[in-house]
Amino acid sequence: MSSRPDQYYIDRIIQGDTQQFGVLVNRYKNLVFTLAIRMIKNREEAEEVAQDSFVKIFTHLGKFKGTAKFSTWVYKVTYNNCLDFIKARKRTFTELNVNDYEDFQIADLDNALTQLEEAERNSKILDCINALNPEEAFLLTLHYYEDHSLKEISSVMDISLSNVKVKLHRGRKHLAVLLQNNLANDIKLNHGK
Amino acid sequence: MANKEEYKLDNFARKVFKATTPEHVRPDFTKNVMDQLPKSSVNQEVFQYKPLISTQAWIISGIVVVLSLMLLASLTHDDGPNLFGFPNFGLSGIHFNWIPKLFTLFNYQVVEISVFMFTLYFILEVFVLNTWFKKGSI
Repeated sequence: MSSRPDQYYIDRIIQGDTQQFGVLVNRYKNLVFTLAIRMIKNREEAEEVAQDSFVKIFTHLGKFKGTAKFSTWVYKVTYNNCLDFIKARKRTFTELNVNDYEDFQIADLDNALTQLEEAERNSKILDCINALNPEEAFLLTLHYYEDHSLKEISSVMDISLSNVKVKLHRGRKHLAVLLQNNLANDIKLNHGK
Repeated sequence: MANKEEYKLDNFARKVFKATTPEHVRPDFTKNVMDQLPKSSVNQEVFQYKPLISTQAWIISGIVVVLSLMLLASLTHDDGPNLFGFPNFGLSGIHFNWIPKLFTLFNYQVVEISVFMFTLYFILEVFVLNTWFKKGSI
């Protein structure tokens, strides 16, 4: 993959060399798709939304002024596209109770996860991530996969920094509760040893 | 204590996320995107000047103003129609005596408050417009 900065390709695309857009698609496709699938929870629909996001990015590339990172803009378009998709299909997600988190030990959970086979661990974690609400799943993915700063996330999601912190805190707790519920038997077994 | 708990939770969440691998698209994903791109090149959205009030609106406003003045003049003038049948146009019937009286309503405090409020409004307007325009393009 080419190591040239995004702006190089953007300039060339704007000048008419549209084939260069393929480089940008290849650069961001997996993360855009990951973000879409975390929000939409369906592989085929997520791929459709991811493709549509790239077409929108291309169409409005002239609008990108370069004052923020191109990746921030890409994720912003993806996020809004996913939200529109969810809204259009009137999908609802079960809200988790953050108070369920109260009496739980991270160490137990960590141990239970470590004991599992890699494939099983991966599957259980993905089940829990998929059970998060779309906003939290998007935020946690961007923060932990991509190591995006909270400030960048606030720009992507168009919410205040303090709101990002609150959502991140709640998202982490929700994820822990889901894992705790999912791994309840494994935790009990470990305690029994 | 709360911070320590938060730190532990943050590390745990990071570990959980890093344990999973990112999703991968199908091999023909890029080709599909490229096929869907519009044939024309990127919309560069060149700014084109478009007046807020169109020429047509200016002409209509002008006609309305002229007609209003003519109507006003015809109502305030006693003479009959002239050679072309138009009413005689003149402002002699309009009295401006009331205008100076209007200023007696004002005092310095009112003016000061007005200037202050206008300045405040102006600054806010600049801020709002600036934010609005920035929002449109990152």
